Amino acid sequence: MKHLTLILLFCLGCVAAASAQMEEGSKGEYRYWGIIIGLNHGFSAPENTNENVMLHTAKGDMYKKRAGAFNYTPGYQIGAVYNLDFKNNKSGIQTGLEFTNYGCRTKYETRDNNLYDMKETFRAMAVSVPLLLKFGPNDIYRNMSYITVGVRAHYNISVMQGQKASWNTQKYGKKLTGDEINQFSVCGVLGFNVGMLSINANYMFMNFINDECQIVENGMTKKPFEGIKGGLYIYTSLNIPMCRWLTVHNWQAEKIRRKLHGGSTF
Amino acid sequence: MKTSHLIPYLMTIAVITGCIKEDGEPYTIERQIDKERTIVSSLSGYMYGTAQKDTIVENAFQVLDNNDLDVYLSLESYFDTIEVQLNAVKECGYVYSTTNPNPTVKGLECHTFKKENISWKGDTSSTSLHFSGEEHGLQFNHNYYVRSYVVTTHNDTCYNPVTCQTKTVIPSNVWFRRKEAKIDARAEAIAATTDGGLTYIYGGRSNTKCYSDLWVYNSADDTWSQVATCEDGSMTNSRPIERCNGAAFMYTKNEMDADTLMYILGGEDFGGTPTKYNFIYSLKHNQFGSTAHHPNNRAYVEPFDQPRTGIIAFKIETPWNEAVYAVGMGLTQIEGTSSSAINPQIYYYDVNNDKLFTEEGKEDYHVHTWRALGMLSTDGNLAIDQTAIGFYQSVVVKLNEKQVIIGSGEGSDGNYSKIFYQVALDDEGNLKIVKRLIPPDEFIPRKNAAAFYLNYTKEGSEYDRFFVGTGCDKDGNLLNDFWAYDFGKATWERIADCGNAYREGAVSFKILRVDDYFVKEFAEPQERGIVALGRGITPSITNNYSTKEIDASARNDVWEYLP
Repeated sequence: MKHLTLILLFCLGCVAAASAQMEEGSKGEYRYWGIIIGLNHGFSAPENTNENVMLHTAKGDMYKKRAGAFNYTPGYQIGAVYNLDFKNNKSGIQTGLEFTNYGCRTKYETRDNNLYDMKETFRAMAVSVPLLLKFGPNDIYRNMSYITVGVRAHYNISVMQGQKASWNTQKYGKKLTGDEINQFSVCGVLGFNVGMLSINANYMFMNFINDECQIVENGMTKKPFEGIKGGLYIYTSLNIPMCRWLTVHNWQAEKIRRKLHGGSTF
Repeated sequence: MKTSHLIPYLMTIAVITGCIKEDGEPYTIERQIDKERTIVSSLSGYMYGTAQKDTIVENAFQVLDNNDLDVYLSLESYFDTIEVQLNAVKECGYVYSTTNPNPTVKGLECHTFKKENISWKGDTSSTSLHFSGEEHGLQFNHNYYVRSYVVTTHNDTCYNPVTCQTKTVIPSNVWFRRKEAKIDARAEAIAATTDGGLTYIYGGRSNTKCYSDLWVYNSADDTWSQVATCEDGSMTNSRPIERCNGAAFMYTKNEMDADTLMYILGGEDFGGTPTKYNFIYSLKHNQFGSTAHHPNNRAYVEPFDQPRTGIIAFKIETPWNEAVYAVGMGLTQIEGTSSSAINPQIYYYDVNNDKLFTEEGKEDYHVHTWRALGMLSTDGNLAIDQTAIGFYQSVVVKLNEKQVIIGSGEGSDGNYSKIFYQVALDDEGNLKIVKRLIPPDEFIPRKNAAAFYLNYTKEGSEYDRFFVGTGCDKDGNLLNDFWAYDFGKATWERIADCGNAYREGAVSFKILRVDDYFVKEFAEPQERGIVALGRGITPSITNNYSTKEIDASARNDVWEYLP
């Protein structure tokens, strides 16, 4: 509920800024806000390589092995981006602020037999700042067609660890804190935008999980997240430019604009 | 998009992506697996409990009766505090592979130890599982992954999750077991080697008696043969004939009646009473000497002035190439009393100068006698005013015709020595110390050790080395470490431990293997060391890893050292 409230406030803020932007004339052609809303798709299944971390099953502790190098984990992002296009109409910069929910999931099986399996999910809530370079062969504004390349920095607000085992119906969840997480994580971004559809690939160089985290327990040093590295995320978003382009291409948007400016829709 | 559609859309996304609530207990656990204790597997998975890691007890090879070589591994496993009761285990064993680091019973390129080679140990009603196994027919210098497994009555196969990885032996700096000596196990046998390389051993002590038989080891065909048994009848003045802890040398007569005589000197009986009487064995005539006091009785050997045991005997040449047959040191008992002391004196058997022996009613005749050769001293060369040193149960090894090495043993102050003396005769025929060989601190002072000398070529380099090891330390612990002194580099080095038993009182000697498997296949040296028999113990969990002399028993195993 708390997160939902945050999201709603974020959206309202974006809409307000975007609405103001729509008043701008030719200036809005080069500088304009956009609303980003979409899903991200995680494909990595980072493996905990610590051999001493075993599956704690009902019949004892068993060695694990990863079942498959890929696993699909959906997430979402919502936010606002500010576009600053250059006068040549072929390149520009895009930055902004997003609220991102993303994660990764790995399935483990018992190594020496086929008795049990367990899915482990890590999910982060983050505030992200993209910094992208836009460029295209033609007018990037006319069709909103351009390629994006850059980085996306995440400030991870909270990270949750969840486990679901085949030998027990109860799920396990824990909030990771302190040294267990990396407060900041960075992705390299490469993608494209066509119209209001934005697709980009984000490769996370540093995961939100701190794989170097060490815990001292009963005189022994443990590394619970050893080997859990970053992965690949595909962002598919609606990139709604809050500028004249939208009202030109969308009658509903034009009607909203006219109403806001006290004009008739006819 | 209408604003009214936004909220449900966002909520749908939230549901799809899933929420994780803090709840429950984790399904992973980090267990620290150290070298000693692991989690044992059960029911196709894992038991709760702890286990000692599978231990490789032996990684060796042996020579079979048909002279084939057999490389083998022997393991021992011990599990305790397991939840599954022992009687739920119906089979246990070991599985191995040369390629699979986690071998399983039906795994690819995996094999199990033969069932007949698995031994259960311990009480089956307890929650402890203790077993051992060995596998033969392996290859030299090969990597093996091996681990234990258990099959429960549920027909589930469980594995020790920690796999042992080991490489089987390579034939270099290694001891390997030869065919067992076909003689009764015994310690402190009396041994001497002929110039032709045949080693004879006489007597020795088992757990119940002393022996009076004579055996010979022939390295050419790796056989032990009983040559003779000394009969008591004619040996009235040479008793006890059943004896041990004495010494012997081979005396070669180059007279018309050429013969080699084995002089059997001193020693003690089974009760530990030293003797001063000596006798001989004629190799040519295959008979023990009678000691009747008869003129010119060639079989007569003058007794010592006092009973002696734990002595050494050796042959050494003077600078003018005259052979000297020496015996001495050891424990001397004052006859008729229980008092004894370690005597530093070394005597020689004067075969050149006789003494006149007069017996009433009989013709005077000459006999050889023992004369003082000298003593070693702490300060180097012999001198009357310097402190003489003597040892009980020290070792003596021939370096060459003119030098021997004498060392270790129990000293007169009760301390055990670890120093070795390279000894020769000076221009006047007196003993002199050429060099002291002082081992490093890690070398434990000992008595009743085994030693030999090898001079060999390996991989193009020549080696001139004195080897010493096994024995008993001052606390009564038996040892199995072996050390080598390299004369070329003047350095000590610890080599492979001897065999699978800690022992003392073994016989040790050098042999020559002319064309055995290692010479032919690996170009290994022909000179080898042999350590055989003795009193030993193999430490294991069943004897609480004891290496105490008191727990040991006589052995008849034979170990060969391949440098």
